Amino acid sequence: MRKSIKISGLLMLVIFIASLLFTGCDSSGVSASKKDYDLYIFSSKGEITNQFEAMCKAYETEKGIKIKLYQIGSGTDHMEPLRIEMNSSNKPSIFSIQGLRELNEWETSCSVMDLNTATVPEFINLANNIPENLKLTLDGKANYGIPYNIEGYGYIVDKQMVTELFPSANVDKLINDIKLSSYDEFEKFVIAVDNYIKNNTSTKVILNSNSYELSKTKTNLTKNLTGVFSVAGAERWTYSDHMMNVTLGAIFKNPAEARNATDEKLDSMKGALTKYMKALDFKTSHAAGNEGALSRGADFINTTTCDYNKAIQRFAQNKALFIKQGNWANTNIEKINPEMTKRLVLLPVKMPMASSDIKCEGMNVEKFNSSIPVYVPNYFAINNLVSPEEQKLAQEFLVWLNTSETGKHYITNKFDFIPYNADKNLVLKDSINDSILSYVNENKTLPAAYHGITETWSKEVVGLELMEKYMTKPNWTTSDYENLADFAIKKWKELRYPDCINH
Amino acid sequence: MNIYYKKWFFPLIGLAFILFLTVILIPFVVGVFYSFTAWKGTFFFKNNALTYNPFSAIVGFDNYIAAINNEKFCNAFLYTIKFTVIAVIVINIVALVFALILTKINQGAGIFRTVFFMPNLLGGLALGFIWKFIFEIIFSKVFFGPDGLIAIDALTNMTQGNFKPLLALVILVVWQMAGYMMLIYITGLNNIPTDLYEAAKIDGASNFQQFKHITLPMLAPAFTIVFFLTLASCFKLLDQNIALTNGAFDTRLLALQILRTPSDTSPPNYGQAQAQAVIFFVLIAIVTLTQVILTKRKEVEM
Amino acid sequence: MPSKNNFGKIVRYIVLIIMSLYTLSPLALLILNSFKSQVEIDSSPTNFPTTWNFKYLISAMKQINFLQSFFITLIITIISVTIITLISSMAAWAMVRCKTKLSFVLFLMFVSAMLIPFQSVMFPLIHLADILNLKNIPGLIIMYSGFGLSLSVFLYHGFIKSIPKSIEEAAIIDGANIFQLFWHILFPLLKPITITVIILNSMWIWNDYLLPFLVLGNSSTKTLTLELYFAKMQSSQFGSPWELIFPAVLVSIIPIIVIFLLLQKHFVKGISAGAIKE
Repeated sequence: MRKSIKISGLLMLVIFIASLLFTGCDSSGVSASKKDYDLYIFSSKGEITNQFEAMCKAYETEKGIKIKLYQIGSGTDHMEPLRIEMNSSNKPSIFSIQGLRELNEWETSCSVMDLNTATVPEFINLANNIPENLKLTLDGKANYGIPYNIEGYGYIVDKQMVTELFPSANVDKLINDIKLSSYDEFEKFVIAVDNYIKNNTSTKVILNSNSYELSKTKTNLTKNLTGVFSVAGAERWTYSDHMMNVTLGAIFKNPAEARNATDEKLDSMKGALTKYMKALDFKTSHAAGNEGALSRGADFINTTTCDYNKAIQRFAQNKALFIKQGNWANTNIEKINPEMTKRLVLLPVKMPMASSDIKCEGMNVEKFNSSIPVYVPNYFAINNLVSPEEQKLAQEFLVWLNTSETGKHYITNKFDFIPYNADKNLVLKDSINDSILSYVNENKTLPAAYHGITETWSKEVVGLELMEKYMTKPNWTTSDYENLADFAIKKWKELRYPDCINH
Repeated sequence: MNIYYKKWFFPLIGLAFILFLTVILIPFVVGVFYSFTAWKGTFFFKNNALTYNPFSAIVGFDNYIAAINNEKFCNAFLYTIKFTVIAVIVINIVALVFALILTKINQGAGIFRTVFFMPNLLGGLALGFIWKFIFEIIFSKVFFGPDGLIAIDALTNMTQGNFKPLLALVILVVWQMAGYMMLIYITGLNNIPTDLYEAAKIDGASNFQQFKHITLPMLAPAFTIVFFLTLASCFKLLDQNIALTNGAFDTRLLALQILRTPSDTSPPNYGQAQAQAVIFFVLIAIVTLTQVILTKRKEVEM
Repeated sequence: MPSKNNFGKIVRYIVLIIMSLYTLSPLALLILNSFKSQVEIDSSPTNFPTTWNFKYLISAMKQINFLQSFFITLIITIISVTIITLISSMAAWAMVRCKTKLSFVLFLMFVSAMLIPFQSVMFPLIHLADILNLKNIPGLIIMYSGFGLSLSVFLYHGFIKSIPKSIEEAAIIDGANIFQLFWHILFPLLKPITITVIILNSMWIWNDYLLPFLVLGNSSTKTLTLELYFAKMQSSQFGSPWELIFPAVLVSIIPIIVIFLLLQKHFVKGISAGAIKE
């Protein structure tokens, strides 16, 4: 036995020494193996994989640069492969950063290049011209990414449905009045439509001080309605990320401000959060189901009956008037009801805010209730740790993508994106995209402030609490509203990004 | 003769050893070392300083303490234990019952064996997708939901909540593994000499007594193996966990927990994930070694 | 007495048939739904498809690059399994025939590695592979060979213990060299356990997802399971594209099922042999 132990010991020593040698010669000392490409792009935007690949081929033919492309969807697993690639000897020169949440990691490890230190003149121009509220930055000074596109969300509505609900009205004027209406008017409007759906009662509604009358009869289209809102109850991100984000637009001007929020600022959110709960309560109490109205309960959070696909299906099959989604939903709706995508418009997500709830500089209740969140979901970042030649190629590629005719053609026509640097007069193929652009042109936008707090907070903590404890309850009380608000604020303080604790 | 073999010992075993060293041992030791550092995946980060040198980022047992205090890790641990206990018991019972039945019929045994073994051929990911569909749509809508054939709440929406996915996983795993374990039991049963049974019958023993005093003891070696295999597989289960719930509602098993720990914080805490992985290894080692020693001892007694 | 026996028999057969249907039902579901559109799968998942539309199978096969990935997975599996079989049998043989303390310790080392969960070595292993330029298919094969060693060495060790030395000793006296000894004398005797080793290793290598994911990632040459994973990831941001998943899964398991059905007897014998001889 003693001999076994001696041998085991010797063996372990050998292994240990071998391992030490290995850890010693880490990535810094490794010479990059032969590369069979000139530019390596890692992109995590899943909707456009085929078109993106086609675009890279177009670039290759035009410039003679060989591109290595690694694409993955933007879902849960995209960070793992990215980390592996960033940790290897052949790192991507261009990679995706999905907003402030992911910037932290790359900024701490100095992997992302500050675009203010770029070398190619056209690129410096491009980076400087990004609108201030769309820049990817932690402190407002450094600039870390070129936006892929902009996205926006709100209540999507089919103009045809509105026309048939209010046959005697001028539909564009009506839509505009809904946009500008107060929360009270909107609430009454929803109740009136709901009564119409359930009991065929036709009443008058007041929107933006103008009066409109509901149709006396039901048409083939409006017959299908079972509720006002199509809600994907099983998808937490619709209410804890997106709807919550609208609320945060009353407090913060941009994600960086949210990230650096002090305790006092966070405490001041209570009012807005309580109003959020009231709006969420109202919305989920007027939800559309497959055959009739859908109410909160076990079915509401069930992935079989209430996931994203089902919610989209219900809306595309005319069972609901509104669905709170963004322009990414266009491709899904198109698969079911292609005609509809030519008539879709976005309306703001309204909340019963009082002036005292608004804590954001430059924001007031009217502007809040007539704006939609518009933000950049994904940025192109340049790797700080690749060779200067690769960085130069990366800059040239991004310039080409955003300024050349071919590049812009791909962005607007093939990817169906809204370019972040859109010209005021640009008209886009999809009506939702046009709608978003109109909000941008009128400066009626809210930021993606929720990027200033970790995803754990919005989805795993607050979202889970909402889903498990509230979405299954048919009735909410005022103290429920306040409890959730307190809970959300308390957890934000606990789950803040580490380097902000010292405020 | 021994000298002959001794001469060739190193060449014969050499390649295996080198492969083993490179692929398993060295990464394992390095992993253990990294678990004592502030490893963030692509860099090390200690005291607000970025470094690529692991030796200057050593944090002692911090990662281990953090892991033990990590609520998600503890939950995953308990969840895994609950799951493993239930799954191992159910698989064993099902496998044994069907082995008993199959050894008693004369025709068609081969066909049934083939059918029961088939689930084992499928990979975890593909399986997970199919069963996710079954639980969410077939169970919840067609069979057991409120509009289904018979409304059984316990079998509806099995991918939601905390306990139901556990049952769902058990059903899945039993479906997948019972056939394989059944084959082992069949072999074990076939190895029991029939004269033992005949002698017992002559002595007037009932079927139940025969089972208890002959079958069970003689099956002890098979039992050891089945127990070992199922214990290890259930404890380490990953693919099916990902496919079924992906850890929602606190349904992470340990393997998934370790995989996701880096994404729970930013920057990703790979040091803690590695510490969790080492703890995981120690747990598995203790559990399986204990099991083998105990069952071997029982074998000898029998 | 006869009627009681018959009754017992009928009960047994009924139970077996019910369980067989239960066991096969997911596979049946898979086949039925591989021919339906997404909407149809949603609305009538358990019915026969209204038309046996092959277009979903074809588009799924295209999406997952079926021919290429099948071929790649096949090559990886065959080469890895061959390496594992040869190396582990040689190592086990050496350790059984040479009863030194060293061989005992080495054996323990090989076997205890079965307990090491993949997570513990995952990250450093990939890092090492990157340094050694092994993040490609040859590297993948080497890794599979390494991971398959533990179980295979264990199985061979148990089996070889029961083979008497006398045959080999006679051959040595007759002047056989080590290669002839191994290949012509020992290896044929190992046939039953070799089949077990081949089957067990082939199964997990063919179906493995995590290792190819970490090593190959989204490279242009992926294994079958990896293609399935990426096809799902890329084609659905939210929700599950059942009309892609079902045919893709079906098409990737058909090869294994076919091979299994052809070689059933060997499978069953192999698994059982491996189990008891320990």
